[in-house]
This record gives sequence, C-alpha cells and structure tokens, in this order.
Amino acid sequence: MRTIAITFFFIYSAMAFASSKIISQIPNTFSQQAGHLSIKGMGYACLGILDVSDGLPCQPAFIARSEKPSFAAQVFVGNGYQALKTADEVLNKPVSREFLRSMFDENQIIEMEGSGDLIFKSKFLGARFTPYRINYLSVVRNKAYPTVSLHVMQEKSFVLQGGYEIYKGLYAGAQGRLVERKFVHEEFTIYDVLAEGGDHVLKPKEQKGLFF
Amino acid sequence: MSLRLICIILCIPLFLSCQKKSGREEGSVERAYKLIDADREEEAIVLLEEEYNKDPKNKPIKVALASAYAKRAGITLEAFYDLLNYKVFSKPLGESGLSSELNSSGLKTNSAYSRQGKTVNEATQSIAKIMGLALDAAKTFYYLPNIDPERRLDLYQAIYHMNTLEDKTKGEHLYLAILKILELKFVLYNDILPSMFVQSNNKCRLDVESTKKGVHQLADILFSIIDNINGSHPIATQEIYKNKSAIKEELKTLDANLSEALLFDDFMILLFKQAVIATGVGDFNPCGL
Repeated sequence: MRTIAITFFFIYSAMAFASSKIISQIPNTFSQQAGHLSIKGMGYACLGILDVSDGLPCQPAFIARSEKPSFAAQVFVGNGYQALKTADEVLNKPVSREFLRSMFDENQIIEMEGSGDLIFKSKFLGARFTPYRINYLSVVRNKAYPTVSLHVMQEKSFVLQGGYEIYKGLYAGAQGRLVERKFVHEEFTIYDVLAEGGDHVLKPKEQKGLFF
Repeated sequence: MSLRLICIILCIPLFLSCQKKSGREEGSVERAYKLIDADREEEAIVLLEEEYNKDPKNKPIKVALASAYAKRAGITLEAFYDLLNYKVFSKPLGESGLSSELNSSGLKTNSAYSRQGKTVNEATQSIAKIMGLALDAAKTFYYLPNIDPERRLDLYQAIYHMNTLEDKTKGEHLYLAILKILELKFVLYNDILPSMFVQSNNKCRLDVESTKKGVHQLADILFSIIDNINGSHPIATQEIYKNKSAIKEELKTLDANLSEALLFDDFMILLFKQAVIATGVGDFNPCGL
C-alpha cells in the first residue's frame, strides 16, 4: 500500500507540470524529471525497476538496494540542438518583434531537449544535481491563421533521495526535489505579434519549488 | 485507514485530470489545423461546421472555421510573408500619399472643369478624397492577394465568423481588419469601379446613383476596418479616427453636390487608372478605355 501511495504521488507531481494547448501537447519525455536514457525509454514503468543503471531509481525506496557507492556525470542532448540559441533568446533576452516573426518562418515542429547531470548513489542515499536542463518545443500550424505553440523551459534542480529496507523485501523511501525554472508556455498567432503591444507576447515566468 | 484516505485523496487529481472539459474542441481545432496545412480545407470545414452547429459560441471553433474559409478563399501564410517584411502597421491609414495625390488631382480637376461650376468641382473633390482614403487602405495591404470572384462567399463566411466573436483579442481584431481589407479590394475592383462609369456618345461619365451607392458602400467597409484597427492598435488610432471624421464630412458634401454625371477626360481616366493599379487591385479601365 505504501509503495502504491508513493507511486501515485510521483505520477501526480509529474502530471501537474504538463498542461496542453489547443494545437500541441507537450511530449511525455518533457514531463519526466530526469534526462537518463533508460527512464526516457521506459516512461513511468521505471517506477517498478529496482536498479536504474544510469541514474537514480525512479522509486526512492529502491536506493536501499544499491550495492556500492557510485558517482557519475551525464550529458544528454536530443536532436534539434540548433534550437538551443532560440530557446536561450526567448528566455534570457528581450524578444523583438522581428524575432517573433521569424518563428513563423520556421519548420512546423521543432523539438529539442538537453541536460547535464551529476549523480551520486550509495546504499541508503542518492543525489542528483542538474545545473542545466532545457526543453524546447515549437509547433507552427494553420497557413491561413498562422499560430505558434511554444514551450521553452530552462531548469536547475537538486534531488535527494533516501531509502531503507524496513522489513525483509519491504522498502520505504522519500525524495525531495528542489527546482528553479524559467519557462514560457504560450500559444499565439501572427496577428497577436503584429498588433499593438505584440512585442510582449512572450514573457518568461519563473518558478521555484520544493517537491516531496 | 488514514493511509487509505491519503491514497484516495492523491487519486482524486488523477481522475480529475482525465476529465476532458474542453477536449472536444481542442481535438477538433488541432485536427482542422492539420487538415488546412495539408490543403484539405474542405474536410476541415465539414469537421468544424459540425462542431459549430453543436456549440455556436465556441470561440476556438469559430476562429478555426473562419481560417478554414479564408484558406479556401486563397489566404495563406505565404500571402503574409511580404506583409511581414513591411512595417505597414506603424503607419495609420491615409498616410501612404495616395490620398494627397488624389486630393491634388481633385484640385486639378477643379481648374480643368472650372467652366462647369462649383458643384461639380466639390463633388469631384469629395469622390477623390473618399476614393483616396479607400485606395490608401488597399495600398497599405498591396501585397495581400486578390480574391477569386468564385471564392467571394468563403471570404464573407470568414468575416462573418470573426465578426461574431465575443471579446475579440487585439490579434483577432487585426485578422478581421485584414479580411475586411481583402473585402474592400474585392468589392472595389469587382463591384464598385465597374458600376461607376458609363459611356455615352464616346464619352466616359460617372454615373451619379451608382457612384453615390458605391462610395457609401466603400465608406461603410472603411469605417468597419477603422473600428477593427482601433481594436488592434488602440493607442495609435487617433490619426485613423481623424480619417473617419474626414470621410463622414466628405460623404455629406458628396451627397449634397453630386447631382449630374461627371465627365472624365483622358487625363482623369489615366490618373484614375494609375491610382487603381497602385493599390494592387488590378488593371482597371474606366468605360473600357
């Protein structure tokens, strides 16, 4: 029952992150908390995996099953890395109307994901520091009413998890995740950009949170 | 017991998140947009009309339906590429210089037809000013496409659906203004200009009733465009509203003074042709000359 409770909590916390717009939905991999390839491959099925070789276990209770301490550094870059400059411009520079207009000239769908992680695992304790993680998705639809759906997120996070075998075969664990992110999650048309005040269509939002 | 309660509480958001409050329209709009991009706007219109009949006040559906009709009328992103390169929106209507050109042509007419008296001259000037402002609006959007006469109803459908939207955003006002400018170009070229001129005894004249009717129709469309541009550019519309007052004044003058058919000589015909060509609506020959 405990495992079920913890599992629900993890799924819910991930789902709270993703909300869809009219013309696009955020890819599932964006809502996952880590950039490990094995987790991306398995999705939420990883909650049942006892040992994730290239990262922290999805279920913190299973950290207690780690046999020896390890430390790893990981860099993950998905395709579409050309969008990195665009993502940086959206989040960290004042966006000009010309820049916004240029978005309508781009391909219909651009998706990019990248992250860097430092991971520490030991018998009862695991930690992951992600100094930089970025997600970018832009979708341009409807030639007659050009509409862009844009999702850009830059995030720093620190995850600490602990687990313990409280009875033979019964594990308990907890995880804390400290997050600081800057993001844009907007849908706008070419006419919103061309109308008065259109330069301010995109304003990055900031979010800090501690998740358990 | 308490653990079970926690489980249930945690499950509630999961089930709530499964509810598709606005899922139907999101799905339909997204599907319709993909169909439009695949040049299958006929299917998009069928799909959206079905959704529209179920919920006529649904804003995303109405906007999508308007865009599907606009696509069938030939309005696509490619049509806007040139528009994006020109900073036309920073310029209020009536500042392209064409209206002043026509106003001055009115003054030239003044001297050319001085023998015909004051009435004719003032009427000519009024027509020149109103036409000038209308042609300015058309010239401002020179690069917008002309609508195929067979697609006229599609353009009107697009305008209808955008017009009946509640709480329009600035962007929606601008889209509607552009659709109405396409209407203005269309009506001007296909209806008003051909009906304004009559040929008798090898001379080209303005037909009084058709001209009055046409100019009023033109002014109505212009007023409507001005209202929408006020919606999209509320700060920069002071100048544009001056044009609206100017047109209203000119309409009064026109109604009072235009009482006999005006003669168009070669000079006026040439000037008129050039002005029409400059707007991009097409080549036009008064009286087929």
